[in-house]
Amino acid sequence: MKVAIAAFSISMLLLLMSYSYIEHDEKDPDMAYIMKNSEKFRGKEIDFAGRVVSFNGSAVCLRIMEPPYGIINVTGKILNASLHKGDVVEVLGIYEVDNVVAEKIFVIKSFEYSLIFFRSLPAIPFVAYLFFKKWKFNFKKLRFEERECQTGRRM
Amino acid sequence: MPDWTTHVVAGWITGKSIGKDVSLVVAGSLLPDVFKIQLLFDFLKIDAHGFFDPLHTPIGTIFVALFIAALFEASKTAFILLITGAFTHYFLDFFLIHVADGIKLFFPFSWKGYQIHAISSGNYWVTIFAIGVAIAFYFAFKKFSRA
Repeated sequence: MKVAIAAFSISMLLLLMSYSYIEHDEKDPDMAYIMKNSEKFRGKEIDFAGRVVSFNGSAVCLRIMEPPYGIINVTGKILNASLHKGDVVEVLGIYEVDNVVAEKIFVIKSFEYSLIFFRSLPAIPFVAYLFFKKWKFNFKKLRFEERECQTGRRM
Repeated sequence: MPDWTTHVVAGWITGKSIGKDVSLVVAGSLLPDVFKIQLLFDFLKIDAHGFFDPLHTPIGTIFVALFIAALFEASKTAFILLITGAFTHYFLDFFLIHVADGIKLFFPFSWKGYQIHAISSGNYWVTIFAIGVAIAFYFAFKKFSRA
């Protein structure tokens, strides 16, 4: 029964992932597809995130944080923004081929963005400790089993 | 996403509050971020093209939890605890600010993302607050378990 459940789960996951892979371009296009089909998206609203390469007060040059990792110019509602090199900027705007006219932006400062990863690191050993303190994997039965030497104290 | 420490702390507090197996709730709190395997592909400059995106949707997480729960003797309990942890993950993710998109709650039936837009993922005070609450919980549980 459990093998059937596991096989069913994996099958459903693969189905969902394949569906996402096939329909992604039409339903939720990424920048690689948008830039490859620039005429199709000209004048349409898009959103993406990029890191600031340069900023001159009226236009910002962003390195896109997803494939094709290219450079794109953003103008529009950024005039009052305080941007510095390395800051992460989420942009919602109108695509004009190599230029996006921003309608809305959201900025995460460079050091705050880096801090997200440093803040995440302690979680990994903590989760591993909590989990493997209680469970061990039995490779013969292919199953997690409770460790026998439980002290009775629960973390 | 809030950082993993915030997610794990929220999972730990939830697990302690419901008095069940904390280890599975905490593991569940990171379950939706299995899709971060995408980062490996990004690093290798391989365009996975949305293949892993469903892993960060409720339906995808249910199937991941179902698969993992099948590896436990008490698979039903394991599934409920993993899903409880995953729920805390989505609950926290809901509050993040994005210019567009959000959690695709009804994928694969709808690709629309939902978001409350309240807190920046760069806001480290959320982590400090969560850790503070967890420490308070730890001592409160210690006191109550002695009583």
